[in-house]
Amino acid sequence: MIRIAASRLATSLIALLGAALFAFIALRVAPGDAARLVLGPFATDEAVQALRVKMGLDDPLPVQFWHYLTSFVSGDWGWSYSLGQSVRDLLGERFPATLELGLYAFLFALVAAVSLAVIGAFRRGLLSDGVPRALSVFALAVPQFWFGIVALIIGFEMLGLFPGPSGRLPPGVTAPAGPTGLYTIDALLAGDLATFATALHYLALPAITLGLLPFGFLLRLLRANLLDVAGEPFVLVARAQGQSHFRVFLRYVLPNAIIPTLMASGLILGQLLAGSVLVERVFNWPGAGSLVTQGLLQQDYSVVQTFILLSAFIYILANLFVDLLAAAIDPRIARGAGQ
Amino acid sequence: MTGLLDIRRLSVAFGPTRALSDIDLALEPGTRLGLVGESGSGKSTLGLAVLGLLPPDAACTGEVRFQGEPLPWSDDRAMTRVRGRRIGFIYQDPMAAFSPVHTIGTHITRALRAAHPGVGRREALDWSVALLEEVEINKPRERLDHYPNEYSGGMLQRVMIAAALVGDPDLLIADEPTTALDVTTQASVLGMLDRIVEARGMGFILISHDLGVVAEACREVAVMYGGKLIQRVALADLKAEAHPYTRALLEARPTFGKRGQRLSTIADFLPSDWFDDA
Amino acid sequence: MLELDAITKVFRKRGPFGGGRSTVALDRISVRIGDGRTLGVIGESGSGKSTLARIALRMIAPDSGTVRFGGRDITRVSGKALRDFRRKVQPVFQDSAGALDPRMTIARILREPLMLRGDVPRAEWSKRITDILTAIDLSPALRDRYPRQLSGGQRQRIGIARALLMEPEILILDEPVSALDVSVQANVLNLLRDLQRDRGLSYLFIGHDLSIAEYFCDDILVLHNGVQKDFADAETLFRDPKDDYTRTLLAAMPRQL
Repeated sequence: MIRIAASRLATSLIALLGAALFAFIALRVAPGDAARLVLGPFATDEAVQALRVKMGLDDPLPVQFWHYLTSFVSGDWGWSYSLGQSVRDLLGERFPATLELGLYAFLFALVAAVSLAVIGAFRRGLLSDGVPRALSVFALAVPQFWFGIVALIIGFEMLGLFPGPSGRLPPGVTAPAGPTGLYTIDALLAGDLATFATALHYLALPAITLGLLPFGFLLRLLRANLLDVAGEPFVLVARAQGQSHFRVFLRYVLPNAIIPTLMASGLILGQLLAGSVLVERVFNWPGAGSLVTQGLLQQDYSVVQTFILLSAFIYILANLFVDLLAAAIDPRIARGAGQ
Repeated sequence: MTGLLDIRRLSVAFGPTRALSDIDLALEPGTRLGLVGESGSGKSTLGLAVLGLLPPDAACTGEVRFQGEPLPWSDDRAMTRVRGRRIGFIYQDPMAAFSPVHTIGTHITRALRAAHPGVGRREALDWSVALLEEVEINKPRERLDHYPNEYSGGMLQRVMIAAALVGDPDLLIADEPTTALDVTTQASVLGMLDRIVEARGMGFILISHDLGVVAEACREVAVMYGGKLIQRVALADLKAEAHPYTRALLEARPTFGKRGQRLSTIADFLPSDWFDDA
Repeated sequence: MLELDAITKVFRKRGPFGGGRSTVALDRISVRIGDGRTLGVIGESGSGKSTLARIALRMIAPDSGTVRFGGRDITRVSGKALRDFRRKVQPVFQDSAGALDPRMTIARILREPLMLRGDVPRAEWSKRITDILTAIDLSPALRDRYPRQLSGGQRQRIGIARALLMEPEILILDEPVSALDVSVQANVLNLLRDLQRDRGLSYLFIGHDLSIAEYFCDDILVLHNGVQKDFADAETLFRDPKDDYTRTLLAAMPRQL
């Protein structure tokens, strides 16, 4: 287990380095001279050249890459010339919002998919089986932004059960101060249950909207796997040994069926972090999505580049966790890596 | 005197397909019966029906009495107390009969605690070791921590036999227990089954497509075709009293001494309309 | 005709940092399949018998040793020479269901070898397919069916028919009846015997069942963990086995009724 953890950690580091290199190169080959962009079209060539030297743009590429890496690690993520703010401050405010939304969307997708799939596969009937099936088709078929708008119309306008598209917290409520920037977690750390509940309330609709597609996908995947495994001979044999239907399901069917779902959910988490732009727009969520789109359009690449790296980091971390979890469940994975 | 197993007018259908029709079969305690048939004969369905483990879409009629009482098929909880404790089961493909993500020790302890709910962890471990010793697995304590893919097919089949015996059942149903095994392994597993069944004096149903295999461990043969019981006969009288279908099965086998001859086929023994009627 | 000479094959399981274990699948095995004869290669799982079949088909290359066909070394040929060889040496596998594309009708499956051959005019294909179906005792009406609509024995016959359409000289029969019921097995074995008699085919029969081998083969090679244990004509091997392992195998056979 330690060996597999070490080997996965090593691959993760390499992947991270690769992501950094990719982000770096993408920036270098992108059109436009960074120094010129900063100074604007009316600056003299001498001024531009002076800034180039100051920014290190005349150094050899490997040296530039090294500077880029070290400054990233030390927390200097560059300067957004279009917004006149340091990227760290910008993303420090926006990225946690995206992260929190992505995490809750993921949590919703995973928990809802697992429970519905389990109920459907354990007791096969019209209600327990047909409802999950219909739900997964629905979740995979509806466009996200459309569902978001409909959810707002019904949940906010008609029923008044959920807050409108007004960001993470109602006006007047101060954001909890904390180390993570995720309001729910910071509120919990501060022991402020009321703010926690409010933050959760504001998260509900956007998270469900964002998590709908992965929910449908995971539900379908896990359902198919559960039904497959339920037909395996070892299930029959365990039943013939006098183990109850429920226990056999819990002890044999679920552990064998859940591994592909776990693997897939690692991939999905990364997707959720990067793909929330539309949902953020619908719910006026102050996340990184709009920031990054804007950065792309205005050639403000330091913002984009940092966002890519941060997403890659979280994504790789999530997959590392999922790999270790799968290895803990399935010994063959651990042995395969240990050989 | 009450018999061990008494199957009366048992029929099973999957939708429009009849898998078993009107099976009557009775076993006295200690009977060793080989249930022989080709694929689709219903022999495996019969074994699963007795255990109440047919898929939910199977329509089952008739009655099976075990030790004088009807088996409570409709009550799955009651059936869990029958399975493993009074009727043991061995599946044909040992490689598929174990969950790949659980150790052999986990499999055995779970079977053990299903048959003896009160057993503690410590006791279950010692018991598992003893069980593996009984089925001749070397270094049992060490091997408990191994996973199924680290065992050979023959070893897995012996573990499955051990797990089927933990509840000390009165009837053992083995569904093609050696079909997936090599011929030398088959011989040792059959020998082991023969010894264990003999020593415990339990009833034994050996389901097989191979009359030769059945002859190794049984004294009686029941031949099935198309969901029906064709005949039941003592092994010693098999040749003399064989039903034409049974004779066809015997003659179609390429046994020694048939070199250069054409093999007999079923059509040589039975008119073609028999198959529709059977 | 087909000769395998001193064939050695080692499989290596490679670790990420080199090294790893290796298994000797075949250790200097030599066999010769004479015209119109049947050579049986018998062994348990892990004996290397299927590896030998795959080498005889040139699906994999041996580490050392030569494969000769009609006196010609074809161990390392490619291009046209290999295509000619492949046409004359055809496989029939155990898993007939897995070897037939489930989305193709029987007629389409049987057209493929004719297409591959390229020397049969398209106008003749239909007749050839009818002829071959008749030759293997199947109704030509089956041509529009799909593999799943056929029984196991019928599918195995289609597998044989597909090989025969290439007009091979040798069939490599890899456990051809192991998955079949006794009654169906008898039919397929009878068919293979008739085909051999009528068309002068040679067979390499790979199997694990000694009684079938004794019935079906002229000569038998017994393999165990890649090593040749015994070689004799079928009658001698069973009457007077030379090797201990052969005796063990014979003793382990279920009772003959």
